[in-house]
Amino acid sequence: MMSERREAPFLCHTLPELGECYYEALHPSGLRVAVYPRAQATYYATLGVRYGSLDRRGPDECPGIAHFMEHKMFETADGGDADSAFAALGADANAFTTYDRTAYQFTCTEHFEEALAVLLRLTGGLYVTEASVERERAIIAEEIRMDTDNPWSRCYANLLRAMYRRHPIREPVCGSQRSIAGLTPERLNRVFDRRYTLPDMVLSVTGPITPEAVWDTVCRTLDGQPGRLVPGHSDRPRRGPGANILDEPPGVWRRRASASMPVAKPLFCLGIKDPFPPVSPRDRLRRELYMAVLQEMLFSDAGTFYNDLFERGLVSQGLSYDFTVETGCALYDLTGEADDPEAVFDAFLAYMDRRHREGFTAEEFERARRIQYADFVTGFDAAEDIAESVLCCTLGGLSLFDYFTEAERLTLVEAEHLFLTTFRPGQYALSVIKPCTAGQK
Amino acid sequence: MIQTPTPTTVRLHETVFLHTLTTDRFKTARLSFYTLFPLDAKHSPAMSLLFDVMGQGSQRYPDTASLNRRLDDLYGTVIRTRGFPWGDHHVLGFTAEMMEDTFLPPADRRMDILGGTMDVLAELILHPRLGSDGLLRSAVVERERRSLCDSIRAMQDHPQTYAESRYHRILYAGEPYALSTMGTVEDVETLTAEDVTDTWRQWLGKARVEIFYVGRADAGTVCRKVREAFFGWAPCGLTLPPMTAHPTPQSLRTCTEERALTQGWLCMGWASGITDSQVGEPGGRERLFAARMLNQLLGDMPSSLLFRHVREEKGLCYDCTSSFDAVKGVLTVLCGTSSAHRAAAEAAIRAQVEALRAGHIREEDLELARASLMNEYRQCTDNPASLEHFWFWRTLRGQTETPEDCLEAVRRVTETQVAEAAACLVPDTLFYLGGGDGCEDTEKDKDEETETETEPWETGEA
Repeated sequence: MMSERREAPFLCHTLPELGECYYEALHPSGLRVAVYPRAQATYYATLGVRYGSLDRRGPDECPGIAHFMEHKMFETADGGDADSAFAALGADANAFTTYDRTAYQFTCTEHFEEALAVLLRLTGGLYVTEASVERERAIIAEEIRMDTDNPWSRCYANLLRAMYRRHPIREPVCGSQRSIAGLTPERLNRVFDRRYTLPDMVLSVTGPITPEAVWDTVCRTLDGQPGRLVPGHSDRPRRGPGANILDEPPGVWRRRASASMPVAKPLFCLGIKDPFPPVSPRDRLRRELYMAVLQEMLFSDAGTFYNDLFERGLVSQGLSYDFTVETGCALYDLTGEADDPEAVFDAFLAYMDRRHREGFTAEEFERARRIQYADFVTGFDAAEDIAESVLCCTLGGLSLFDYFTEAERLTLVEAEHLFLTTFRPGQYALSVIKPCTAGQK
Repeated sequence: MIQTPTPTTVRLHETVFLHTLTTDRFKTARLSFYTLFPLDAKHSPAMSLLFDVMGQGSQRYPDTASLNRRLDDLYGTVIRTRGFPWGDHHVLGFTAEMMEDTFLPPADRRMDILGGTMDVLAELILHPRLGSDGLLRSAVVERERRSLCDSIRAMQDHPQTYAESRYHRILYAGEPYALSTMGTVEDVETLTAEDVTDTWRQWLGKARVEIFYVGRADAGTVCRKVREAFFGWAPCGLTLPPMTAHPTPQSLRTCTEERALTQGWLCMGWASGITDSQVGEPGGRERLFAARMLNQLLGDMPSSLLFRHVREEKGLCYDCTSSFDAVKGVLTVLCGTSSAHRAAAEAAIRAQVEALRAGHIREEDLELARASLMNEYRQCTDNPASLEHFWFWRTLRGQTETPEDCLEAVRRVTETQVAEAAACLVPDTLFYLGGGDGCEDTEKDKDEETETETEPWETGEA
């Protein structure tokens, strides 16, 4: 079937300060297409679906189903698999599921347009059988086991289960062997039909390409693929967060979680729960920027807290810190090894008292912003990260460069306000993995 | 294909080399300072500890807080200590990643991030903070010694890492390569501030150093900045002994370590006798690229034989991959599988290797492997770290082949050559970690059982 060539209605996002730009267009099917031309050897394409492990509505959507679906999407109508089709083109394909999306991606250095067509054809349908679902259950069971034996993953998972009472972030992305036990081809197909619609997807591409070339491939592939077009997509309201997300109480559910594993030294994750997590994508972006600055001011290795713990020998091998912002959920975590995690927790509480009394200096704020700026700039050297970041932003209706413009508007006053509302007793939890004692396996 | 910058090499002193890869493709510059010496049970742990101590501060930056504040002021420049083996040799050093000056905001346009970072590196190496006794501060040595011991002990926390290191020790028993670059807890525990200070002074006098820079500055500028920062340092020569060859095994060595894991780790190794030290011999380069293709085909690409037949067809594992150590010529398969699947996974992996050894290679599979390997060589130009990585190993070997040369070599590999490489494989070592059930939560909160609502999916409703 010949398809008529259409002009691409591309919107150009630019960041003149760094000489960066990319293009975005909406295909009539509802699929958003973002193209980031770059002088590099590798093409990188990622197709994201606005469906992750937190999206659970109705009885079909058990923990782990989004991830299970990700594993099955590479099977094709003729009983083959898209992996082989990608490999035949010299493309390396992969997929992953996060809290808020599922992404299918490939990298290649040749035959980009053919590989892109293979990627886009994944949207055409889910082809599963009883036997293939059964086989995948065994593979995913191994994946779950791998995570179970990882003490750091387990420590963090236990922290989330302690901090959150209802929010689905409590459940691992892969689900559990129990939760995926009841999955059938019929359930997967129902969820596919509901979730895998083109208006809920974004294609993001980086590499030595032009927007026009990508657009041509998108049109050629999707125009010949019936059944997935959703008329009137632009008027369709987006799904809001489910009740399990909105009903989450502001404080932590439990303050402690503990397990034993064969580790050399106790591991800990100290979590700080944001009581007023953002919901809209733009609010989430702003919160991310503030959380990044705040954690840098509070926990950086240039600061007093880190160095005090280190000098006193309370933590070994350093301390890592991070934050997570998802729909209806935001938290900071501090992770490390310590002979006495409770002593670290006490030091943390004392430090928070001091910070509440003394506040932050303008110098600390500027240093943290400087690091944030450099992180943003150097992030452009990771082609994969760019494609993924553009994907995330586009799924949320944002531009990647909004990070830059929003970051320029950060103020110390607002950072301090976020600190005062978040870093309070009742928002803290500690998860510990203790070494197995003699006699335990 | 994007043209790869080739390194400009300057010999700064007898055994100090600077390799500059000038490119304006990135917004990050990378500066690595590596020293090389024989991997040795006594010297390697002392050197590892020394670099950990040096990374904690200097005379100008007397503690980690002041050091890190300086790096933060240099727009979040990050300096990491890195240590890894290169066969029987130990590579140790610092790698700095920094934003290119070009992207500084207008208010800071005059800042020299590269120069500032170079000064910090030189400070750490040449001017560590000494006590009044002329020794590296014993409190810092003591703290870093504890931390290094903790790192060594923590290896057991990660079943996959631990399994790989145990396998490595068994596989290379009797060769320096079997040693850990960090040493053992026993090696490290006995080290004193005197030992580490002596190690520093001796190393300063006799060091083999390779400095790599990837970024926008030209070779002359980088050379000038290195000379200024390291002014007066002129270590004399250190000759690295030749690598020992990995002997062809007489029989398969097998070892199982029982450990309570929900998923065990199976490591299987085959010696090939094909190494990168043979590239100068007739046919040596062709054999090496054939071995790399063989590895790709077996388990180092998404549609590899192991992925398709062990994971997808049989559902025996989640992870099953292979790697080829070109220094010692060993092909290794790593598979994470539960103890119930262990025997089946082992048999399935062995069947794939045996089929290759018998010359059963499908042309279409070979072409997949070729395309995948060519992808890797093309992609190595796309970020500063992979560019440094590509040239680092070749520089050590004195090789000048570019990514384009490698692509050409891969293009020319024939099915016969891959079959010949496969025929060289001799079963060497098998190690399995696992065999029990994992630890369960011992203090499960009782509230959780009562307060968590039953979810619809748990009732089987659909």
